[in-house]
Amino acid sequence: MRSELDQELMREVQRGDLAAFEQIVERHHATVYGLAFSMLRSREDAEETTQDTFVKLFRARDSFDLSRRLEPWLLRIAGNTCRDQLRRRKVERRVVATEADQLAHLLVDDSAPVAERREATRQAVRLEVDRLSDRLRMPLVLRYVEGLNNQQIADALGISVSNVKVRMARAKDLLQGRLEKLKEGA
Amino acid sequence: MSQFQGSPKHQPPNRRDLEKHPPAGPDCGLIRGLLRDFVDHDLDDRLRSRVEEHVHACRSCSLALARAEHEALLLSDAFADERTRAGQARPRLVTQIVDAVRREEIVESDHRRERRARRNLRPAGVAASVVAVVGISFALALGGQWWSQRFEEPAVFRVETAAFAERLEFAENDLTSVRRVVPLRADDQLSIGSQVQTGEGGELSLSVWSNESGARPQGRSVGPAGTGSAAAGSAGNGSLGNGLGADGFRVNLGADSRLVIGDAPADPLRVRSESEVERRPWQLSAGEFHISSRGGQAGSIAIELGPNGRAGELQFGGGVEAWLSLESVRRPDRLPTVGGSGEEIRARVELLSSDGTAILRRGAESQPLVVGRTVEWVGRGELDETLASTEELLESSARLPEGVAVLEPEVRVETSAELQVVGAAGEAVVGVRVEIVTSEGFQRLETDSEGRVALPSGERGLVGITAPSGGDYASQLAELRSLPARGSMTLQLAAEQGIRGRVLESDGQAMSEAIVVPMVVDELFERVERWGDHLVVTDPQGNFELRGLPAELGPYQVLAVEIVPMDAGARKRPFLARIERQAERQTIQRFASEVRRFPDFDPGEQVLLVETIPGLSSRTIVVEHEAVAGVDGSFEVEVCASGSLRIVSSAGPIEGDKPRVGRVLTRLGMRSGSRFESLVASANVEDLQPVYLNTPASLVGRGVVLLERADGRLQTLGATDFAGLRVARPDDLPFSLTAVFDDGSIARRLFEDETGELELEIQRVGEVLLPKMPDLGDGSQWLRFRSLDEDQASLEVVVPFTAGAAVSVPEGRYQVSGAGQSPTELEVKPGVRVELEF
Repeated sequence: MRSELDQELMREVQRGDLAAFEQIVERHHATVYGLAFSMLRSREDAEETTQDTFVKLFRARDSFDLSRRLEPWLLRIAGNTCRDQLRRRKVERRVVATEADQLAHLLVDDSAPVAERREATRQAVRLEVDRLSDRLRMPLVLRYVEGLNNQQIADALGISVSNVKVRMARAKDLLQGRLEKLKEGA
Repeated sequence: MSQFQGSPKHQPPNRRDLEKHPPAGPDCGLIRGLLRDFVDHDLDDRLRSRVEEHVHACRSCSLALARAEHEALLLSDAFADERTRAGQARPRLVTQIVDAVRREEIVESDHRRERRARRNLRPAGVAASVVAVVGISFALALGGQWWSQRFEEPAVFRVETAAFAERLEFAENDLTSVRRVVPLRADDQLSIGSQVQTGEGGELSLSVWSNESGARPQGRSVGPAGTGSAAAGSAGNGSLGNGLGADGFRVNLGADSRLVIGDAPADPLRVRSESEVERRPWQLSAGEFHISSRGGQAGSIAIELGPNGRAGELQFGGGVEAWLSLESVRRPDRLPTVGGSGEEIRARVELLSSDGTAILRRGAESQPLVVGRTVEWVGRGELDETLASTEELLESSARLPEGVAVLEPEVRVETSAELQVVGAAGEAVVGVRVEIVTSEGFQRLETDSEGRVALPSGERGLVGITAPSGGDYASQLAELRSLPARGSMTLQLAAEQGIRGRVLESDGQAMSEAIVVPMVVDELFERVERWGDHLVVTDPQGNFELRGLPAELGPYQVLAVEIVPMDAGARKRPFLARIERQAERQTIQRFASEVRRFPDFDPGEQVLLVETIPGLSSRTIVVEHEAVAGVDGSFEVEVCASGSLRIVSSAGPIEGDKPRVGRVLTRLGMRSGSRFESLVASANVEDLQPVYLNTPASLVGRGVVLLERADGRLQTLGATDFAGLRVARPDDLPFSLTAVFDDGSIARRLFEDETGELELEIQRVGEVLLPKMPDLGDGSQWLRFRSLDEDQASLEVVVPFTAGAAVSVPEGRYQVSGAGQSPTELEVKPGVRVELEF
């Protein structure tokens, strides 16, 4: 139903109805924003990326195939826009590494309060997620933030379901290894 | 032998987990490959049932499942913030976006007007031209440079869209293949302007062919003149000429490239951009690749063999087709990892056809390639990273050296590979079982007369290989990931690998005829388990030697047991010591032991005693004793004198030697299928982790809940009503929660987490008196209590319906349904009995 309405709205947009596009923004901006925030971890960047995504969608409206679902396409545009943004600020990852070092000490510090250690674990996982390549991170974000299933992730990323699974498993393996290293190195 | 085909259907298993805890058997292998999908609820019913059945019966796999669940839990926790914030976009964002789109719309309208104005210039008469020129001049004067640029780029389509951005992601080594169709008309100009950023070695491929039917447009063609060879940052231009081929044409463009379409075609043209290449084989593994350059392009390929940099460079003229073959040559003594520092790699290049020139350059040397002749050289390299997996291949390809041009390779990777098993002297070992575990399933193969087995490599991803002990050969565990194409691999088994040691009395006297068995230390769960059926008896000097042990299973402990003559009651005296694997002779230190008698039980009563014994290292060892009280209500157990002992009864664990008579335990650790599932842990990261025992059994009557920690300590959560039990994560890994119900049934679930102190909170319960209804209407036998309290939203209590019975339910407000009755609301207060009425 949601999908059919999207298609109907896109048809109107293709006919030049800007109000229909506004409805599309209304319906999907939270999803796009959520994805962008997960990828970029900055409210400002996430908003900017959300805006860019919809502008790109608008520019490409005529090439949208009305027999297909809008959401995967939109998410794919959003994902690419996020990656563009990330490319522009690669430097920040170094900062992440420093934070990770501090967290590592907390993780292995038995004397630290329980709540702190628990939070440290959560943050450590999150930081390591941030250090994953976009290709591996995207499926995780789509699964754990957007709640998409494998088929939806595959649609959104334009890859096969098998590939989603391989990436997902690879990401988990990498995360586990890095967390172990983090603790060892503390 | 069957070949694995295609991509994995399931998430490949956790490879570290497989490494640390190899599957115990064929079924385990299959199940382990399904666990991640199981946790992600991504299995069909049949497989899901199969996993459930298996993990209920298999301790090893149930632990693996717990680890997989923990993995998912950590990730879910990690993204908790985002899930919250996803819905917190500021309201003004929508307005902001809509404004931006409106601006875009205005720009587009301007653009359309400009194009119309421009078209009108051509067919119109002089007057119109003059008007237009005046208009343009006026606009130029007013709009300045901006307007001028737009006029000079009369593209129908500005290639700043997401689709092209996606296409260009390929330059970032994305597997994504994006196709984009752009309608073009005569005189249209497709500009790939400053928005385009290609990475190092990036490539943009554009194809032009006719409209829907795919028919060749009359008089259309493409000349790749001036086309950039995709070197990083280079610019290139392609233009349409005459004589477009049936397949269209392809042209590789660098950044800032421009494709100009000439005269008006009979049919509209389509331009398709696509990422043709999913992998960059350069600088990677053994393999064979077919490389061809089409469209008459020249280019070059750098071949890297390792950290030393470029080992060779293949330069092409136009229309070159070549086979490039890289082969890893392994020495038998460098095993069994894939690749390795300094490993020899043989590279071959065979030129299949060329209408231009092809040169192979290595360092300062250049060598022309001749069609039909193979050029071969050997280098040394580091393949570890590059062989790892498709994903890692991609990561490595991100390091393409700047300036390396990329043609359009067609990657073809053969799917055969071979494993050879040799002994320490390099001799072939026949008949060794090789077990291959992939996400597709499990295969058992046996080495042939040359010690070889053919391995399937269609599977990309994880392939675990274990060669179980056979004869004097112990196995090495190897993990092959992304098997080398047409390569071979040798797995060396170390002969006579074993543990030697000596058993001594505490006074230093040798102990003969002691039984020695190896125990494998499960490091993650800090438990020891007996390894296989190995068992030896010490000689008169107290020496023993255990042979044929696995080499890669981590540290061993050795348990020595002294056999005492029958007249002393045929008791076994355990000694425990830790011996590192493959260590030279070590002495096992004896712990004193004693026989303890426990009176005051009911005749025939079964009791479980959990003994915790400090090991030589910091680890503790847990031994479980099961005993049955004799006719006099007592039993005896031989225990280590230095450990602590707990006896489990309904009154809770008992320290020391004063056990009280307690309820009979059927068997700790046994879990029934449905009840295993029924213990549900929430993924919340709250301080208190709610664990709801919402099984039918959990809410009838009373019982005891035991919490068993990794160090073997048991903790009772009280002999009480335990519905809605809340348990915080303990600080050690892992713990199991065992609910022992009054009817003797047990539910148990293993949890693992890394943080938290053990905190327990028993939720208070009240009693609900069920109505006396002889007829249940629809035959339903259950009542369902759904919590109406916000903070207990996930609580659902199901109890069996027994007319007139009282059931315990956590305090709170509920909607009660079932038993064929209309739902009704009910408030349960602690310590108060309320009557349920429908």
